[in-house]
Amino acid sequence: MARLDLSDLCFSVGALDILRSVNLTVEEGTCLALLGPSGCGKTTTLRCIAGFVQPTSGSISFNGQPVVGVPAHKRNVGLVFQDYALFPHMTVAENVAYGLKRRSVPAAECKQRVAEALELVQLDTLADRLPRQMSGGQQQRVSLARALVIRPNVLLLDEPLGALDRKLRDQMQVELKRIQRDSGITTIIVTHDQEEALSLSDRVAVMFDGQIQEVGTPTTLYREPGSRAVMEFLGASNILDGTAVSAEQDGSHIKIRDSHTLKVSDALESGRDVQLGIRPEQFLVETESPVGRENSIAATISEVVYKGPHVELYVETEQGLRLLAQRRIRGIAAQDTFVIGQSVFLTVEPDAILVFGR
Amino acid sequence: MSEERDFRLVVNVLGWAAMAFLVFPVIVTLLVSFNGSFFIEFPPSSYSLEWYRNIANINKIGEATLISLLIATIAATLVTVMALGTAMAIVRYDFAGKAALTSFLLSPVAVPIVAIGIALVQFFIRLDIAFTWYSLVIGHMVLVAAYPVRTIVASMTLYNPNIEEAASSLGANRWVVFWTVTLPQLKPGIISGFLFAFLISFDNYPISIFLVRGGLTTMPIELFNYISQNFDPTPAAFSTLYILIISLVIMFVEKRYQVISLSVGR
Ligand SMILES: Nc1ncnc2c1ncn2[C@@H]1O[C@H](COP(=O)(O)OP(=O)(O)OP(=O)(O)O)[C@@H](O)[C@H]1O
Ligand SMILES: [Mg+2]
Repeated sequence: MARLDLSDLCFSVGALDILRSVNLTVEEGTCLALLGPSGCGKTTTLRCIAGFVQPTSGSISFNGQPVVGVPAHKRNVGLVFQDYALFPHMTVAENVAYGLKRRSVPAAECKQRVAEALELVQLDTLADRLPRQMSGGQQQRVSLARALVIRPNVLLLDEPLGALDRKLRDQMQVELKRIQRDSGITTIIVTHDQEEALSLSDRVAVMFDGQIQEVGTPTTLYREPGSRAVMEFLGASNILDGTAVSAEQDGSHIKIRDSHTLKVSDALESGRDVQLGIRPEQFLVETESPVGRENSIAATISEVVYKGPHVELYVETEQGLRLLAQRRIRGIAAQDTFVIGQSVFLTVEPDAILVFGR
Repeated sequence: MSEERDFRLVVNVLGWAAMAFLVFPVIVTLLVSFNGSFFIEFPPSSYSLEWYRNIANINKIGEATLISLLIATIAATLVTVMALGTAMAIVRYDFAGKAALTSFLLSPVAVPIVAIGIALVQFFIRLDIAFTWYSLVIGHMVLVAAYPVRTIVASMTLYNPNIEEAASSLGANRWVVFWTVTLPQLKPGIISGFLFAFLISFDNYPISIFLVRGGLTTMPIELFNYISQNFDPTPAAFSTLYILIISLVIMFVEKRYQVISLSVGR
């Protein structure tokens, strides 16, 4: 277990800069989710930490000890690959014992620790199977047990649940979270899935184009992202261009193009160009006009998409402003049925609107 | 649906025709070897085991078979070890001339064996090692070098290189990774490559004929010498035994190491 620090980490192949100054700290025993679009450098970051590639410059340290230059097999890093990378010619127990054998752990202790690790991932009954005789989810757990049993300094998971179906994925997420918390190992989990990132980790780092854009707790990052790009990456959002028209004591008014004026809770000087971000679930959707309320927008439904627990409404105002709203579905009530062409009113609280500079 | 039936029919006919084509000469050899008469006749009119007893009378057959076994074992072993390096280089690394080397080793171009035999013998005379064990082993290595490269490359392309990184993250250094992960993974390719090389060397005639002289002789050469002077079915008896032993070895290796799965995937 260790604190992990990456500072000013750069990695280039030829003239191509893949990582450009990655700075990241993962506190001891916590789990950080590394999130970012495909090709932004997540796997490369993990490969630098694991020691498979040498960074062009910058430093990596475990508990303050620099590890750049230490070969991969001496770093004591636990790795779980997206395709599991189990040894096909070894049984489950032999796979898990592999790292212990390399550490010359005595046979009795080795057996004991393998059994414990398999119990942790609930595979103790399948110890003698070969990887090809197991399902994807089971192989994934073997791979996790194999990485955990060596008591690594840090655990790196590269899209560990990517190959699993939705249901198994949800199940494994819960299990992964329990195992990470119980073992208390410093963990980085790479994922494409923002929901997974938000639910699994203590902190989330969003990476764009070889750089960490923002780091924060799941709640702050989702509710108050520091930039429009992060907001858009972490879920559906409405981004509106506007200009501050008047400042008040408890906020200011923003004029959206030539249509509506929205009240926000930030104090902004008049004339400033800004971008507003509104999460679709922050809109209150009503069919009756909410008389006398602030931030109410009249619009017509142009598309309805049912998403199980909620329904997504694509609406358009008379001035041509397109918005996405979301509404939870409760019960099987008929009043939750929206149709294309229907008039609705969207209302949003001033403090639910995020303001980004432009 | 009738297309499906026609397609199957054609595949079946071709499959059985190929089988017959491969198996028929073996059956003829088998029957002839039990022939009761002195001359080769088919089908035989009487049966005996006489030609099996007569195998011992083929000139130098024991010695020649032993030499062939030794040459094939040495050549196949050396070539397989070299092929391991070559295959890794071809699959994993970039180097000058890679494309040329790859197409030379992996394309099914038939090597003009007689031309190579002539070239080799001249080369060995220059080096003053012609008609020695060295020249015979080296000649056979040239003959069989490409086969293990092909089978090992095939097994490498089926294999996930991440498992080597997994092993190294678990504490294995480069050598340990090679012994515990790479080598076991490549085993089917290595074994089938070795077998190919061994078998091709073991019954090679055209290269050997240029490279042997005097006491240094090989099984196919002595067998051919016998055939050119005698007309009895003794060589058929020898061939039947040979085919039987080889088939047993291949069956055993296949069962033990699943060499077939090389092409079918596991
Ligand atoms: N050895 C290499 N040589 C050249 N380019 C490379 C190399 N390794 C990675 N890249 C490039 O670096 C970029 C980042 O790759 P990386 O695998 O880290 O992305 P990622 O964030 O893990 O993406 P994904 O989510 O798709 O897995 C990609 O554009 C990739 O093509
Ligand atoms: Mg990746």
